[in-house]
Amino acid sequence: MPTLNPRYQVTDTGQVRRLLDEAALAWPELAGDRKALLLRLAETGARHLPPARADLEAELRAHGGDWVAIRGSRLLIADPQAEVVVGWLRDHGERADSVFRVPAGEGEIPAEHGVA
Amino acid sequence: MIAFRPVPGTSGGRPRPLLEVYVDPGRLVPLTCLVDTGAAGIRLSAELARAIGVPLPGAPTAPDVIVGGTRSQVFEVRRRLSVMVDGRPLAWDALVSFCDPWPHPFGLLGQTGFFDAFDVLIQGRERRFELTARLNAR
Repeated sequence: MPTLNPRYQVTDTGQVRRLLDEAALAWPELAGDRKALLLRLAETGARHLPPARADLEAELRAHGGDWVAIRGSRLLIADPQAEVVVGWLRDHGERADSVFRVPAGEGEIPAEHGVA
Repeated sequence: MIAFRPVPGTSGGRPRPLLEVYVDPGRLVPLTCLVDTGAAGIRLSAELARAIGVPLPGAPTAPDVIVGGTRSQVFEVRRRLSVMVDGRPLAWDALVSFCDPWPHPFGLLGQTGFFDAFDVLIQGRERRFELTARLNAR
């Protein structure tokens, strides 16, 4: 069917074949449909992903005005005081990817030009 | 190349050139900063300075600045800063202006202290930027 969406080719060989064979044992009702097995594998894998970035953004918005430390898509610590966040990282031996203060509103984001 | 990102904690929004900068010697706090050609220097939160143990009392002060409509007191402290570029740490010494209060969610990396330590290639259409360290950043 014509489409503008990206297409992917998967060949039933090697690692893919092994995964599909295992999937066929787990879901015998789909054993005759390798395409359905592939989709079921993908759906199952998706359920085991770490929390999505969107979840983190929603979590951050609940902490407007707080200092936070994040790693990947995980919120490590949030507190109104930077000192508490830094102390928590130090005490727990945790490494963060980013430390920042969550905007309390869009007005806290500088405009297109420099502000200082 | 470093991809632009939206300011975290905002609902989407325009992706910007953000970069994590370590101000503390233990590389414990990767402070999110905006690469900002319009900023005169490196401007960070004084609250964060206190949290990581940068001594501000007695530090030289500069004339107050107006940031986001708020008058801020400026403490100027020379610090060893570092960033991770392609998995490799690059460190340099810079005069940092710690501002009290600091109304923005991130610091600013501006002309003095940052743009004189790095050549910065910004590819706005591709929403990415590249840092090349000059002699004083290793």
